[in-house]
Amino acid sequence: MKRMPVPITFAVVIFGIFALFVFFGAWAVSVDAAEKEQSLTATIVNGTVGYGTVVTADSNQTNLAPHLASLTDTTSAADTWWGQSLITVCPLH
Amino acid sequence: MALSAAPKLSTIATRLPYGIHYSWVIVAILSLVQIIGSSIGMAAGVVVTPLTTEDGGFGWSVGTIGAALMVYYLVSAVFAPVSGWLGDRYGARNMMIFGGVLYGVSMLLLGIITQPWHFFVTFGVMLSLTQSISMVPLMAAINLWFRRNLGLGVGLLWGAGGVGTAIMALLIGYLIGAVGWQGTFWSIGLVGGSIVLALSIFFRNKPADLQIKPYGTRPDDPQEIVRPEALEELRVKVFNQHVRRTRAFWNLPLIHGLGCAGHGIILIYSVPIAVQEGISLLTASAILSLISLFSVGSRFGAPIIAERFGGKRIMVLALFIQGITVLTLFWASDVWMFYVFAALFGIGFGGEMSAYMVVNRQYFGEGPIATTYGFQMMGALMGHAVATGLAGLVIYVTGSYGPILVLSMAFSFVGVIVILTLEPSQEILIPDWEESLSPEARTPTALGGATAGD
Repeated sequence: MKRMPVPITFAVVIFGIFALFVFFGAWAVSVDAAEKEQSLTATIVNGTVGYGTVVTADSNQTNLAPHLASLTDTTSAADTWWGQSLITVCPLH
Repeated sequence: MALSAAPKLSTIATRLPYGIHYSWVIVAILSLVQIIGSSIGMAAGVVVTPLTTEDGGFGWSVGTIGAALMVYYLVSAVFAPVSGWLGDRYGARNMMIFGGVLYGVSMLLLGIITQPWHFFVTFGVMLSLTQSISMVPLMAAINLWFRRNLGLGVGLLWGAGGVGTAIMALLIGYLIGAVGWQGTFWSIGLVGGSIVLALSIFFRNKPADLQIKPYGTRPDDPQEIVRPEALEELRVKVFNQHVRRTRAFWNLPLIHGLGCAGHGIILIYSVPIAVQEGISLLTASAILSLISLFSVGSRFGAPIIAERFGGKRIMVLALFIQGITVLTLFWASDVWMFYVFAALFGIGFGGEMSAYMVVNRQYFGEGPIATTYGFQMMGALMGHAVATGLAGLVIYVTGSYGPILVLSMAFSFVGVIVILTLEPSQEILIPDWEESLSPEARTPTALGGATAGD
């Protein structure tokens, strides 16, 4: 049985597409992680939950803790195995 | 194993009035089935806006829709070679009946979705299986009906598909606005599924089923042989082994994939891009219709030109046009600009997809081609999946549609480069494949394929 010849063009293009997925995937993971961090910082500094809902620290002080807890518990894509893999594999992120 | 007796084929190759060969009835049937079965994928861009806006009743994210579309194309891609094999094993007619039932049920269920996972199952899985069936075993079936002028048959089939998709995109856009999501998909599912099932009554797998010869058969052509099932299976296996050893086996699905990745991005995001520019959904839906409409000429012409002058030239030209016309979208802001883009892009888009069946005959002769074509469709659908997934990621990180247009152009132009590395099509790449068969499994006289120079 003769071997199946995989043309070099085929291999190069498939590798290129894989590299694009890794690059943009790692970028997306970084963006996701940055947004989560920014959201958490904004919550702590301004006493807000996210950017959509503004609550005053005085009137909702007791209610803020659960929101903070939920924010810190929420894992970003960077905390997942596939997110870590993309970041590790991509030399640019 | 003894060779079975040759069937009693009619020496008159026509059974219809005015000498119309039944092959043209098959072309008409397959055209309608293709329009019904695959148009939902071609018109996917129309459903993005209703699913992502609160007005549409869903309000899901673009990422969710993009993921579902990616699943749609991935499932279609994985199932494409399988459906080709199923077509070889159980016949295209049985696949048509199964596809008709599956289409109707899928559309009825799609009409009542409320959660994203419902959309993943009905659209991403069930309708993608329908698309595979309508695009692989049924499209490959035409190969058996034409000894000559295959390009004309394939061109008519693809051309009709272009008209149908144009109508379907407009129809879906109109119906969603007029009767809502449920009414749209229930009506299309019931009507479409019923038509496919009704057409299966008139469909036959091969000319010998009607005791006639393929279109273009000459008196000096070798007589068709009906072999025992085991011998036919052996021929398919040996043929595919020889095909897999050629570079074209790898490069043709890759080219089809790159071409589909190039236009897949446009088919999904040209409508949202237009809507972002302030154009209404119904008006923007016409972009897809115009793309399909203007693709009709090149869908029809590309296989005929490929048969006459060789597949490489027309494939290069089509992919180049597809890539270069995307530049228009960077400046498009008015309706007329989008419509001009659609007209120009459609010409390249149509020529990209329709010549493969003819190219297959030029490279691989008249062997059982359904499985090979299945792999090419797998490449095409993987291209759509890659385009959808990558485009979603790029939009997420850049927040702009501009980079995905660059990506679309890059896919098309890399496809042009890969086409230039293909073997010339003057000669069949596997002329001696039947020598690997036992004598009783061989064709009595080797048949020439449709060859042309590049």
